Amino acid sequence: MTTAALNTISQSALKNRPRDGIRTFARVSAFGTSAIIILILATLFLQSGPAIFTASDSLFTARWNPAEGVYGIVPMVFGSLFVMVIAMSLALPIGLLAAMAISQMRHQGLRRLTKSALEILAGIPSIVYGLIGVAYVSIWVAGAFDLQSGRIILTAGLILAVMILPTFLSLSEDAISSVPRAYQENGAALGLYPYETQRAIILPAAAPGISSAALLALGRALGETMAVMLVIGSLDRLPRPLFNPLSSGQTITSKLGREIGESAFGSTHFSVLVLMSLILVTLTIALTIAARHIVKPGSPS
Amino acid sequence: MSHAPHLKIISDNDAPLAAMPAISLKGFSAYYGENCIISDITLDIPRRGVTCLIGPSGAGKSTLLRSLNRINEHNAQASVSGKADVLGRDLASGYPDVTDLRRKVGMVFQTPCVFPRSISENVLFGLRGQKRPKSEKREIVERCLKAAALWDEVSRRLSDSALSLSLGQQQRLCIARALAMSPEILLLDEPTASIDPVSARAIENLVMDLSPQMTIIMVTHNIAQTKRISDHVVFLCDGKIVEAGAKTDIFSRRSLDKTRTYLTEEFCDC
Repeated sequence: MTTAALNTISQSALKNRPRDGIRTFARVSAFGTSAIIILILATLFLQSGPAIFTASDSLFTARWNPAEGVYGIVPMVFGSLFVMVIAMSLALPIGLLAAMAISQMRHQGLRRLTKSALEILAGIPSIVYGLIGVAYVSIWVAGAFDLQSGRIILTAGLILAVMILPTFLSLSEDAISSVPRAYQENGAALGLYPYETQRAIILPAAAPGISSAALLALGRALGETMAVMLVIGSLDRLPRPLFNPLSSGQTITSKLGREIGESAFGSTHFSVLVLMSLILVTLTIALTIAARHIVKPGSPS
Repeated sequence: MSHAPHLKIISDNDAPLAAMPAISLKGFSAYYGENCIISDITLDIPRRGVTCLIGPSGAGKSTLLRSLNRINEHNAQASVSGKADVLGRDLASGYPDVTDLRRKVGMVFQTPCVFPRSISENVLFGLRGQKRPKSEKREIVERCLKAAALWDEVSRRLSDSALSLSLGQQQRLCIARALAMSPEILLLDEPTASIDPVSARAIENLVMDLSPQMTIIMVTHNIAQTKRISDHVVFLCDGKIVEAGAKTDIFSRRSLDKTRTYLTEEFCDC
């Protein structure tokens, strides 16, 4: 092999070195992330084992009393789902309509201002929402429904809806705005109102982005602890009647937030709390997979 | 605002052009923000036939076209002034609901944009919200696709995605979609600019076939195409009309020097 050929090879090797470094970094990051997820799941499985073996009789009941060794997790699982449904059913339609309206704004300055405001709202710490919930919303709810206390499931749902709204709205607006504007223009040229084109073309084309936004919102709704803990009333009981949002309740996260510090590591109590967090993770994963299957991409060109 | 442009109607046989215009502009100007794109033009476009808007890039052809169905309003910076009548009604006050105007004045853009739906759904897209029997819908799809010279190519796959069509076919589908609205005026903004020559020729034939039934206003940079398909020509340069008239006159020795220079050298020094 000639010297020139060797030089060429060594130069190309030098050129490839940064690319190889980036590739290695990407691979390590990907494996690292996967490993962390597997480790978390493995830890949750291992730590929740004692609960399944020692408290299996009472686990799927609606009664919680650690002093008597009764660890019924049904009220918490139900509370989490109930609060999530209230929050999502309020935030999704409002967020979607607002996202459509913002994407229609012709004044770009106003649009940017609105988006910036939303991003600031999304960044407010949850404790602040919780404090507003305690100081104002729960009092307003108690007055509106003539209740002794406004710390109920509905208040938690309302606060959570406000909390997830900016994230959902902002990401949905991004998804809608990323659909080619030509669709809107072509729809308008056919004499259609903007909402007709949006409903028939823009929203289906933006559906994957909107569903991702909804999933993120859902993740926050399921995982939010502090604000919910402050306003839900922390009652380890199923509401009566079951779907009464004016009753106090408990979610998995508010339960964990209140009791994880009080339970001894390795105890059944601790193990049941870990099991609840495993259920929370499983719920989030299941809903993510379900949503991905339900929402088919709208295949924009 | 600049003074009124020199508008020269060359042919004396253009009486219908003045008598029953599909579009009548008097002192019409169009702006994007502070920039005057079309400056104080006066023009009558006759009913039926093909009127080609020609001129160098930036002359204001597309802006004029986009003003005629008020699609320019999608840009917050766009505004117009002066008098504009479309089908005998004032462009602004005559159409308080702009969708009425756009159903009468169809438009096809330079880049084909089919919706991610089936071919037949695309044709019927503008008729959304109108309850019609299935048989009538089928008849509309067939009629419009035949009118757009696309029926033979797609009749066996009407439920296929419109995205599976070639660009030329997509552009003809866009025309079929516009025709389904039964417009009285069809605006075509360089409809053959982004497609292959064979498809372009198919669209030219289609435009000529449609011209006896409706007013077609087409922006084009292609002088040969203008010569082949137009009945009337409007030559715009720098936001003003240099010359307008029947094709035979514009392409004759009687036209203005500037026009002749543009037609032969595709250059304008205005």
